Amino acid sequence: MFICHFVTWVGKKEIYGNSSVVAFFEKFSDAQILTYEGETYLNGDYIASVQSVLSAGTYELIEEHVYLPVEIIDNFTGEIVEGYIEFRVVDKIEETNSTINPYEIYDGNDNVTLGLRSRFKRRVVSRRAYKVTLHRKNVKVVIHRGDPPKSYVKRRVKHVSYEVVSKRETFGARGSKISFKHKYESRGIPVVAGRFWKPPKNERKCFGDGVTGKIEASVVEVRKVILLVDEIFDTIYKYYYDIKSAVYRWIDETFNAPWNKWIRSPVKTTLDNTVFRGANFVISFAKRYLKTIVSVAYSMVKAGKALSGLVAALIIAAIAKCARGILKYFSWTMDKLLGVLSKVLGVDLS
Amino acid sequence: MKNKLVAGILILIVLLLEVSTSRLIATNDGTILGELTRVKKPEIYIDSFDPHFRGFTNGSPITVWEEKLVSRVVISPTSKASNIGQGIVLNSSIREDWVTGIDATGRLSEDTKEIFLKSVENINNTGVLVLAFLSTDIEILNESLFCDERTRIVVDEILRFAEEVGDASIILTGNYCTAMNLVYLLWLAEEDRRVGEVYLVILTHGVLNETLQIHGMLMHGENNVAVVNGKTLEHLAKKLRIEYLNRLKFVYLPFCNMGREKRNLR
Repeated sequence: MFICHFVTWVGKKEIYGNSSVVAFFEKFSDAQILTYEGETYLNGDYIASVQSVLSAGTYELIEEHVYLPVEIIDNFTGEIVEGYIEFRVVDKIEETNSTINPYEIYDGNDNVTLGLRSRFKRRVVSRRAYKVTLHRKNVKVVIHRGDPPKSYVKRRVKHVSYEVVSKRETFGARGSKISFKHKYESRGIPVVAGRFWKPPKNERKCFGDGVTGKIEASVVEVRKVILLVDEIFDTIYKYYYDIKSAVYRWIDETFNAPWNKWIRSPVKTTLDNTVFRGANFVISFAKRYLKTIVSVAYSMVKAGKALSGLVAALIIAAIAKCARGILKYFSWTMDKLLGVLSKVLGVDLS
Repeated sequence: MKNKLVAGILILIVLLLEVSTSRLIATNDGTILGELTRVKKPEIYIDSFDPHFRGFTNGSPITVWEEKLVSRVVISPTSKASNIGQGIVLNSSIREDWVTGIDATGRLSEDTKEIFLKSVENINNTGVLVLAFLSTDIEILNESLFCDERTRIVVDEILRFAEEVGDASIILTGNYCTAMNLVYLLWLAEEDRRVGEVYLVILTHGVLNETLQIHGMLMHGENNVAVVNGKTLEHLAKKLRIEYLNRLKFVYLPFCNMGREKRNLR
């Protein structure tokens, strides 16, 4: 037995137009309005279409070449040779025309809608091909012999248009599509307010001292721990940009002298590519160590501490794990780096 | 000779068993097939006590994704239909305490202006402000959007957009997702000379129930869920004396029914 819920009676009557959300924006602005027609299923097609819209626009691609003179010791002869290290940081835009959605892992039979339809196990077959844009930055370090050439920066502009999804509708301003300007250098740090997830109300119950009471109490404890996982994820989203901003600010302040300013870009790029790939990446990282993280979070909550410290510690751990390889080029010992970051973010890793 | 006799008897017993089993199976198959032919299509009962109900009649075709046989389907446009323990009850997820229209404005958060000023402090008059309202905490059938991994990917895409495209960006979630906060922020952006353009992205559930005449997007009300629609937004625009939102250039509503809600009057 199950109860299924529905809301969308496909009627022929035209009753909402003037009081619809779209009508309000049409009346009060000349904005371009993008919506989806009918039920929207949370599947790979949908995610790809959102990605296609939000990643469309103009990208300024930067190619940075930094050359630093060094002395190289020839291992065979012991001779000291004049040379230089080249740091190459290159923006790349990859567009893939995919006939299968790029998120097929999430495109199972279990389609969830963004309306109020029940979670029927309904097969929605992907028929469209979506253009998916991936932005990457590559950092390359090469050692050369000889005198270093002059460092330089090359800039070029690339435009990416979005795919029109069959179920999507455009209202409002007609004419050419709006073109978003994607920036990487002077990004605005989003101000995040509120909770992405609401914990259920905490009910205080007295279970008694008997065997049944103890079992019931332990079930409540287990439920609390399960809810703690969502609480951790919520905290990651809430503090992700604060921590990212703190780490990047620290990089800007530390490498501020004329001779070491060059280091900022490769270091930030490395972190962009490895750790700061979105809050969901940090969640995926956390999932790999969920047992430990939940146990630490549980102790923190019991001790009345905020979980923001745990998120900072998680990001430091992610830096240690993911960015170790490339950061060693900058002669940073990981211990020193982690020590400084712990101080910056106010986390006691011990 | 004696051994041969024993072996012969054993073979005979086995053969007899085989024959009886196959007959038994055949009998069972016949019974099941006979039973299946007698199964009727599920009958549809309509909650006829509700005067607002329309759109469905007895005999409406219905597909049931259920492995067991269903003898009874009860359809109701409200969430009150009782489940008497037979078959399926199809009813609405719209709860009695949800508010809509001019009642769905919700509260203005105390620090909305502060959030706005903090976010735009570093932009000049050519700056783009990205506003994102993510109502990922509203629970439908005991589950919120945020608990779904796929929603978190979409949230990531929106956050990345805000970070890359916005010279300033404000991400409001949970109780901050009220119609009041939305219209107030649009008004603040309109009044502030530092903001050149505003891009708005909203992620939530969409509602379109013609029978109950409830339609719009789910946001937070004062102490409940609010179904925010054009009426709600226009009421607030009037209150704030907004004539036109010149700076609003892009609105993205990537969830159910927003296109259909509008298109139904075209």
